[in-house]
Amino acid sequence: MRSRQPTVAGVLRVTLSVLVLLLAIAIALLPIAWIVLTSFKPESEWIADPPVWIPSEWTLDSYRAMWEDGGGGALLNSVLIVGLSTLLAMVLGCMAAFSFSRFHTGGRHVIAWILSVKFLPPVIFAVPLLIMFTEVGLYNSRFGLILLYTTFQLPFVVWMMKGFFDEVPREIEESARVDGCSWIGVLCRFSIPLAAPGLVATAVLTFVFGWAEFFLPLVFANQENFPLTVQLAGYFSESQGLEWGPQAALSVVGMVPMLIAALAIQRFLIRGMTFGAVKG
Amino acid sequence: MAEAASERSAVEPAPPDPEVGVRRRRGSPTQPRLRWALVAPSVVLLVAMTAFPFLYAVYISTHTWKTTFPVKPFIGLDNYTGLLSGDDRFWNAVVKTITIGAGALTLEFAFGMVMAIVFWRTFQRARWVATLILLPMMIAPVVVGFTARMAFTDSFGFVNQILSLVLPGDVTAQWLSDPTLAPLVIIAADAWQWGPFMFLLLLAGMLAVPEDSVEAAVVDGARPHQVLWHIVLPSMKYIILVAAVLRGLDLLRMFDVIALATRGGPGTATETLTFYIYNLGFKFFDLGRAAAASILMLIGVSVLVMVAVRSLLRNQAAAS
Repeated sequence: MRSRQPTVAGVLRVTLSVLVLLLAIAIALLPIAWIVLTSFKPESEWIADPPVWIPSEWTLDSYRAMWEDGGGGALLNSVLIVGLSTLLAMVLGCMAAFSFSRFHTGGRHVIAWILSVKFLPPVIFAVPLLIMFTEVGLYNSRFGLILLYTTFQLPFVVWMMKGFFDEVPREIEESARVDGCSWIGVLCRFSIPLAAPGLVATAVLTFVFGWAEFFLPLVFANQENFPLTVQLAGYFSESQGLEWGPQAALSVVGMVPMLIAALAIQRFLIRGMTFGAVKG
Repeated sequence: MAEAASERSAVEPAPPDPEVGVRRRRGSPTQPRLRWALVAPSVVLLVAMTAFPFLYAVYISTHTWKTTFPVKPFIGLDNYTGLLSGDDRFWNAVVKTITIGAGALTLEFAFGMVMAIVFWRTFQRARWVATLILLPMMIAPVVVGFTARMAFTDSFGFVNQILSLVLPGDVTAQWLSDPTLAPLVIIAADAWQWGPFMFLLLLAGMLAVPEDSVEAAVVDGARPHQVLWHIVLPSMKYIILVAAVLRGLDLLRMFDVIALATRGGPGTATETLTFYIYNLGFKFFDLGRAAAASILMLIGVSVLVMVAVRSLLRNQAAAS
């Protein structure tokens, strides 16, 4: 087929494909462009009829307003809570994943149970957890939020890292064992370095998912511990959702690091988003 | 299949000398006690944060449990029967969850399939395109919801502006205040974010179809649609199942986009099950009934969860 001369049908097909591609890219990027542009608009153009795309005057007023409204604190909360919970989930998850990968601990039942937590709606656990957290004083604490985030990030880490550890050649670990290395030594000195690209990709995606988390902090925290996502929603109750400029600025601050992260790990993006079902 | 895999790993290379063999036998090389120590922290956390809360939810659901009342009497299954037989808002939430979920899934699947077919023979190697189209998936759903709210707000939103350019006449649809249009806003927002996911999954599935079988069919004179229907689609069964189940489970828990775009409204037009449970528990403080609704939701999604877990496990066992 590759050696075929270009035909009318072939040219038509390629043209059509290019058009579909351009349309898809436009649909994917236009709303993102709208958010970014809106964050630089002067107040009179946040809400205009007809809508204004390009700001007549580029201003940082929205960023200043957003920052003074608590955006700075929310950013700090997001970084702290998501950063620490990602770290915790990675440490616990790598240990468990190594055990599942090398020793088939618990057969397929334990790993299936852990994986199922990933797919159950977290709202199912919200009511009992809220009562428990209130009882033990974890409600509205950063530590409580970190525990919650870690819990719901853990299954993803375990599953992804099991896949990456499965791909580490056994022969290297075996010879290390023969040389007298302990299993912990094998994990730290051979398996983790050999699975490093996958480890980084898993950590980045875990961070991205945690960064997007909205339900858990909404239920389990108050204003002073809100991350960016809940801060963004908070504008509605105060002003009927018409503070579009600062909200867009807050969205940009939350969005840009994640887009950069996605580009940095694009080799593993599809594999991560599909829980390893597609190696991409 | 898991048994076969563990058997394979049990076949260790023979120890190079007897001395090492003795040491390894003492340490039980394939099943060291360490293996449970490595899993223990994760298991403890998940038991404390999901398994125990689940049992606690069953207990709560059999009581009248309101944060505003000090007394919490046992009422058996009244919370369940109340939801199932007398709570229109619960059933509305079930219907909205299913219709919005099915609508979004259908739109995403159709988009993904058309795109995958178009790209299959033309842009196979253009990875940067894939990354570009994947970008919406990296954005927090709350930002997607907020953007949908801006985009669909009557005359201030750009959707009506763009539709007016493309369609004849001036489009002035009241997307957010019309109960029949509001679910479409949610579907559109979700499809914008996750349509690319379907496209990439289905494209990956198509590219995995053996080139030989496609070539052979073409040589035998099969028309393109016949190749697609008889060769390509049958070998994509697994990937289609995975795509539908992963997306479906995500759609069933949808909350963030709705919270920002429509807040469940107008009225209860976009109030999904997660949103209703949230309202029951954290707005009306009827924790007993919210717990009962949670248990019912768990029962409802458990079959799908089992399918998802099984197919992922089977896939990984086959790959390793």
